[in-house]
Amino acid sequence: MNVATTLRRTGLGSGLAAVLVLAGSATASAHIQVTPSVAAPNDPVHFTVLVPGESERETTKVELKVPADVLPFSFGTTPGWKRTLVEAPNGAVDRIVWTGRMPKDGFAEFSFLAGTPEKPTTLTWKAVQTYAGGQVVRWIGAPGSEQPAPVTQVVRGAPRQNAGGESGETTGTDPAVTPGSEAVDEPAGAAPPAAPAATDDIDWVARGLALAGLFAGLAAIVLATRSSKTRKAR
Amino acid sequence: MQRRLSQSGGVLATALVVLATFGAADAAAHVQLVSTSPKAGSTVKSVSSVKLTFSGVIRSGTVRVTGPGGTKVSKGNGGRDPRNVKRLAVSLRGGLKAGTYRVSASIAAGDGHAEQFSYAFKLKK
Repeated sequence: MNVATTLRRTGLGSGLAAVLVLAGSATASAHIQVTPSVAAPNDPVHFTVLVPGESERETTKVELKVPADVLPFSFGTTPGWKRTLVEAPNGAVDRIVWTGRMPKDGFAEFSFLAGTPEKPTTLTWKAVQTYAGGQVVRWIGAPGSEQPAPVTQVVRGAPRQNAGGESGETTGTDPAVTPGSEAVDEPAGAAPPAAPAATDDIDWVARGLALAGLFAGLAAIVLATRSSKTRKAR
Repeated sequence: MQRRLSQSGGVLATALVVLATFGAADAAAHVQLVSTSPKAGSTVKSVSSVKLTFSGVIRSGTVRVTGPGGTKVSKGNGGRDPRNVKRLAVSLRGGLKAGTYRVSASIAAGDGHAEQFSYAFKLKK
């Protein structure tokens, strides 16, 4: 018995469920989805909540209950929507509430980073969707029901996300830092001076660099204009 | 002249990027220690528990308190306060002697970051 088997079984199960849902709910509305559907334990994960609209009604509020032992710590911004947190008495995030207005043919996507529980479990994301007319749809049912709550399986061996990069060993190398990339085009000349410590030097060099850039740009324009003129003359 | 300028500029720019990256790493999403009870470096007349409050939610943690002579005076390993997910707490044994007490704590924050803290306070009777 291994994780792959479990995953495969789960996949098969959800595949079956999907078929059932598709077959059974042609007339029912679209469903709220939370991804990923599989996550590793004790891992900071980037969760996404996809809320579909309905042709008849505008959505104005989405309320998501945070499952026990899930620790949200950072929240994405969705333009046009305001996010508020409802805390439990112990300070844990109990519910995330998004308010805004979704066009009838629109959808909204909310995201947040949260630590998953330390032990394998099933996270049930109970959500309540409110429409402009005050109607409410409670996505709290079992998988396959008319209004299912989205589910995330926390499984050992699932790929770790380390969303936010705070967990575990992080190496000191940053892909954004490419030493020497600025000077790559320049042939090796005089040895560069030691890194200046005084801010005056920094200012001076930065200004010099800017001026050099400006001149280069001007020169390029002049050259370009000349060559185009030459071409026209021919 | 131009070449030298842009070269030193390149080196400098790289250095700045490196500095900015490493400097920012400290300030990034980390959970900070906001307050402790007793206060770090303070002198108290009595103490029955040690609490550390953080800026964010912690997943778990341990606190160990040692008294004069390095004797462990905390009960068990401590843990997250059931009433406050941002707080780590441990209770202490009774009949503590006057002297310096050292607190060392480790946490796993909600964002997965693991960190250690240590400080001292004094007990004066």
